[in-house]
Amino acid sequence: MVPEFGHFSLIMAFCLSLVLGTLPMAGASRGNRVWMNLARPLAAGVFVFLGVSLASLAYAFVTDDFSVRFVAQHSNSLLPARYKLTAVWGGHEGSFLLWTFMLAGWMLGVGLFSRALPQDFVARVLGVLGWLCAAYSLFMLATSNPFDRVVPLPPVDGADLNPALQDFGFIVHPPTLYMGYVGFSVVFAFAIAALLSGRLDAAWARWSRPWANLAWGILTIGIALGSWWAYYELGWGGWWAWDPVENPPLITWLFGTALIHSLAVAEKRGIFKVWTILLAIFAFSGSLLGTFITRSGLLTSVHAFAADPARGVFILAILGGTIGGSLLLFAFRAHLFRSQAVFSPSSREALLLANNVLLVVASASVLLGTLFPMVYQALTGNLISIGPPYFNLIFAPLMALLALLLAIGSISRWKRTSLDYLYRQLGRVAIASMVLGLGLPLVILMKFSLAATVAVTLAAWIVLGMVRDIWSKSANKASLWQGLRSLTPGFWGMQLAHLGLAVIIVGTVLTSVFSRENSVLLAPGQTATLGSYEFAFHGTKVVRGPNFMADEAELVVSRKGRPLTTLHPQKRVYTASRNGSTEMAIDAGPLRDLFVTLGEHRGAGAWSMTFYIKPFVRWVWLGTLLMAIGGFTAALDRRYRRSRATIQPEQASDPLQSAWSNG
Amino acid sequence: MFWISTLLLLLTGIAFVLVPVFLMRNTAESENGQRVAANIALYRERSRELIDELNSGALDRAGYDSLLAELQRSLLSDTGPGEAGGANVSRGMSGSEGPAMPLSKQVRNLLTAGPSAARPGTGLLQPVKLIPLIAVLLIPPVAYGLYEKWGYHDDIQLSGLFRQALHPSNDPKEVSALIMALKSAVQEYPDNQWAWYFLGRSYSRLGMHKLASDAYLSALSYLDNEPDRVMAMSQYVLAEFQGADRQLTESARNMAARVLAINPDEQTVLRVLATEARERDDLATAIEYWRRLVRASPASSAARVYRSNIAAAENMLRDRGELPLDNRAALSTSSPRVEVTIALAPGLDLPPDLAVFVAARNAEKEGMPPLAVVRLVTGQLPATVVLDNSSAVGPFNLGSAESVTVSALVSRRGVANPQTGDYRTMSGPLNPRSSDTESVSLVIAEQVD
Repeated sequence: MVPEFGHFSLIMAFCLSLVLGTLPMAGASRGNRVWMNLARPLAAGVFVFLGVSLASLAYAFVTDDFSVRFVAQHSNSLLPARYKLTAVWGGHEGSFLLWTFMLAGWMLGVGLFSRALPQDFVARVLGVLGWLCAAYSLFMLATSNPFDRVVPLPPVDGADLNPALQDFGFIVHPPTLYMGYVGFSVVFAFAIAALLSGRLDAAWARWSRPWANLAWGILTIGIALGSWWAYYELGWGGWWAWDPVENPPLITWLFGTALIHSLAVAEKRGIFKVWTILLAIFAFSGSLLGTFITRSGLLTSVHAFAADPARGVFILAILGGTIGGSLLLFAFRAHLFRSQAVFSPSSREALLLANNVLLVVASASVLLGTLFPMVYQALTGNLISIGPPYFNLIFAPLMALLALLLAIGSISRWKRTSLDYLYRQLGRVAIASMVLGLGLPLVILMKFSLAATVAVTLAAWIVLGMVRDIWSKSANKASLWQGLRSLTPGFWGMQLAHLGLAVIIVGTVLTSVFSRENSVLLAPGQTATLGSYEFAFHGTKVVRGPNFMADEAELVVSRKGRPLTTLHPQKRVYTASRNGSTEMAIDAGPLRDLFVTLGEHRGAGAWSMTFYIKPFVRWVWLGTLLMAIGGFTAALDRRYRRSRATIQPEQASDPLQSAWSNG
Repeated sequence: MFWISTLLLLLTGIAFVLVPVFLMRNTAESENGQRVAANIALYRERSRELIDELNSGALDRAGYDSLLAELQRSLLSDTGPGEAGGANVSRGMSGSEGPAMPLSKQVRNLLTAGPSAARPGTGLLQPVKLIPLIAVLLIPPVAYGLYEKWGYHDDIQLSGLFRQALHPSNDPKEVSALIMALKSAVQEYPDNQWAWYFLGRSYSRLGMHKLASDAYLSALSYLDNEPDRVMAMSQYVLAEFQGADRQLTESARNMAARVLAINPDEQTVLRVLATEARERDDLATAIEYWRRLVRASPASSAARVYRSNIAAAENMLRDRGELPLDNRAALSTSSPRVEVTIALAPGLDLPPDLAVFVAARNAEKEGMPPLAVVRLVTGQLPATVVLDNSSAVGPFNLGSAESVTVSALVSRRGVANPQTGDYRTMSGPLNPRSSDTESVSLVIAEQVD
């Protein structure tokens, strides 16, 4: 009966979401404090009921309740306990329930940590989120119910979880990704609240920034985890394939990156208001679009979608309603958000504007490349493939340009920056970057590589520019330590994130250009070489796992005759589903990964296998980790957590008095 | 237990609405005052930053004055006209810097005005609480109504009975008790199709075939899923056949025809028709039906029995001087089949000896083994193959699915599971039982990541 309890709980969440979406919003319009006051408790209620629902589904998995269709399709009695729990998000229905629960979590967070915000504003924000929650809950109940039962009688056992999902990466990647994705719903709600109230001021930007930074940081980690998981699980050594499942989070992330920069300008200078609203809408739209693409059946084929359109049409309706409605509201209200400040082309504002343009163009390019094949197939019936050549050709130059502007933007001044000032700040940085860019790769590789030179130059430009910026902002204090302490967490967060970008540039370029692989057929006792490494094959043995049998190979890796490590790649067959999977063996290191994947058994103990050397591949994820930490550091700035502000008469000792007298 | 627990959930949900409605306190400060205060606090913070930058030399005097003026204009714009002491808003000055003194005076007035007068709270007026109370009253009927539409409480209650009916005891008393329980169930849940269905099975177990037929007809009036309807229809045919002393009534014959139109390989109906034909000494027709049974499930233990029946019947026909008719060609067109043309994409150059697996899978059930498979090599492409029941590789065949997808996999390693580096393409859903043979063309182009 527990699944029925969870099912009813989901219905209750839907009912409360409806109330949350109507009464508090109406209260905000009418100045009705009783109705506005319902927003926070209703948000808590929705969270509780969705939590109960999710827990009920998890219970069904853990207790092997195969009368629940979703459990029967994605679990098995032999599945290890930890994967039974994570199988909750192993398919569409359960993962969408998790998604909606994450939204409720963010709603609860807004309710708890918004005491400093005016009640009408909170009511509107939570009201918008309530509508989203209601739409998602209804979608589940009507088309994707995780509590559907197998009637009249359940199967004796389940069909098992997809072998590719029986992995640690699957435990952490989807929840993190969803949390980041859904976090942009909060910023979207803030934007809609601004549009509804007709007020977009510095206070709004200050209130929105921590939520945007937090969502961005979490999404960064979510995307990084997915990349890492694909790298070691899929067996071809790649960490980004530009496929239609990977691209939507990146689109959201790019819009989100532009958004967090735009918010900073809106808070500091009161400009870019229209940009900020639109970016909040687009970032959220990216998350909805990702949902549509992956859950509508469109990825299987356009025909699959058309044959069973209920789910896809519902999501399309949510997509159209929220995005269409928000853009319509924007069209009617944007005229209220005129900015008054002006700035020169060499100002920080101009550089941040360029930053936003580059990010939006990059995002639009990825969006075009992702959607075009589907549209083309729908219109013509033919298949077309748009892959890495298109995306790399467009994305790489845009990011290089962004990196170039980054060091200048950080050090430039608001409103106007003289070229002389820029030269004094960055002239030597530029020279040093070029020297490092040319010299380091030459010294290490003993040959010239244009890609390595460009990557190291850009990374050095960012890092040295960052050091220069920190120095110039802390030098006027009594001591260096005092100077460093005077810099805000927001500033440090920015620098960490930019440092992360520099590390990513080095990692992505060097691993893409200098990776090597070798495919061989080895019999026991034979050795293969790749670069300066030797791989000695010592045969295979059969191993038994909790729900699989595997052929496990033993490979001793040496370098210049010295043994380094032993690798054990596997070829598995899962007992319940008879599906196979290949488990790679990786020797990870800060400067390189060694990677082995088993192919097929070719008789007499011989196996085909592929070896990879992946230089600097870990820097890709180290860079994203730094970026995320930067986002969290900025989000946790104490200035965002000040208690409710009240208007106080200006005091005689107020430091601003000197400003009046000087002005 | 279910009703108690749902009531508990309802009360909890209602509490989230009613408690804040009745416990709400008046707050002293106006919403707008809070916002103005927040903007002023940000103004002060930013002003201090500008002073710091001026003092450190990062900003020159002209830059400081210009930025401060814009900051002041922004503050006045954000706080609106008529706020906090009636400061006049200096608007419409974008593109030019206004005179610093008047602007500073306006800002100073704003900063020195003190808290704005708090608007009195709306109070706990009764009409204001009416709407939330209406919402609370609507929650239970809406919640139970939605559960009635989408919930499974009734089915769960009956699942124990169904399990018993599926594996009935040989004791007639126990079967009778089961029938009584199922009769109560259909009275309580008259639209529960499975209660009717298992009641029919239980009646059949006791030889009460007429009642079984009626129960199956009742089940059919509520079943909407086609495979389930076929199952109930075939049981009806069997019950009618047994109730009419192993003769086919008109209604049973019509029902059998309907079943075979949907699933030409439905085993229960084919067995009944074969038995009925054998009873009438129409051996040729009986052979025809036994052959269809064998083709539908060639590896089953029952197939051995059918084969021996066919052999015996053929012997009898030969003894009579009649030869068995070979209806294979005529029957094959009524069996489920899909014609698949496979080709490599132009420009895709692969070794000629790579394995190509052409497989059909149930489009509605993910993760199931294939229903039909044909193996080729790349050197044979382009090629056209036919997937039908004879291509089955497991217990399920093409006839067991309403809708299938067809895939073509070029495997570098010679295995049927897609691996990185293989090439794969898939069709959309197809109906293998269509009266016109389904044809699909697959062009292999995409590589598996």
